[in-house]
Amino acid sequence: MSLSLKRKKEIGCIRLAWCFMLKPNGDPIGVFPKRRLPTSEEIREMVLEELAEKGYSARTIRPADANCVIRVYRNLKHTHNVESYCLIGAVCYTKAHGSNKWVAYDENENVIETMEYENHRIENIFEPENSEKIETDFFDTYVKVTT
Amino acid sequence: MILTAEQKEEIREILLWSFYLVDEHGKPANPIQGKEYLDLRWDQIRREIMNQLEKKGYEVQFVKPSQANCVIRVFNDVKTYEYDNKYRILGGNCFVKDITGKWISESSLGNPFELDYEKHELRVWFFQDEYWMVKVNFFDTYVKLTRKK
Repeated sequence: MSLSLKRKKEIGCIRLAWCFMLKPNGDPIGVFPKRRLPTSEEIREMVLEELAEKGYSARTIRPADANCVIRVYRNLKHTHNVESYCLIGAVCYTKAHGSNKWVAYDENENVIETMEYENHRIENIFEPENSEKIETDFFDTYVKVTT
Repeated sequence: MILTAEQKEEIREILLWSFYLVDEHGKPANPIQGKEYLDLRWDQIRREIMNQLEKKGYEVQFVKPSQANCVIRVFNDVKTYEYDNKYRILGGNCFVKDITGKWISESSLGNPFELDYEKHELRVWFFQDEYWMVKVNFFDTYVKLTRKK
């Protein structure tokens, strides 16, 4: 199924993001469901649930046949100033109209990110005037989304 | 870089595999002293596979799928077998293309098998005449391998 531009934007703005400050022993401050950080496959499952809520079903497929990439990322220890943080989340990419690039959208339907195959960097705002680009580990899942 | 048949064979044989009974928290239920239980996160499993590739003299680079000459598949799941026994099944395989363009890897028993994009199904042997076909969670990473200079 080829996705309309409207659908591409709807899917491409699905994103999950968490930033936890870490205690000196490495445990995150704050309570997550199940009282622990979600694993990569649990984050992917949450994205699939969001897709399902929007009326889509997704199945894992060969990359050449995919119309969406779910990227799950984690950086379990990033130090900013003297504090340590854990950053985890996911991004949904769809193919830019008329291009071969995988892109993500913001809520205003503007392209805010082009997928890089070699690395993943997220911009995190720790203080209002201070944002930082942070490299994370990541896993991609190529899926075919259908209604 | 195009891999030679010899290099493909060497890469296909790289694998990681661990299978053990777990408690309700997913931890080894009956740890045996001296036995190694792999309890790794997804990224750690992939790192282990990449370390094995690097030890064999390859540089590993994440690339777009159409440029890849290897797929690293990692799997990690807890599944229930008979009598509510739960097992952790964890590991990774390297797939390289065969002459027909299919991604092929080798099982721990040395049997070749093809990459299934939609699922990862394993045959777990309990005894010579008892095995369990089980589907597990997985992630694929498309990589380009080159020989270190």
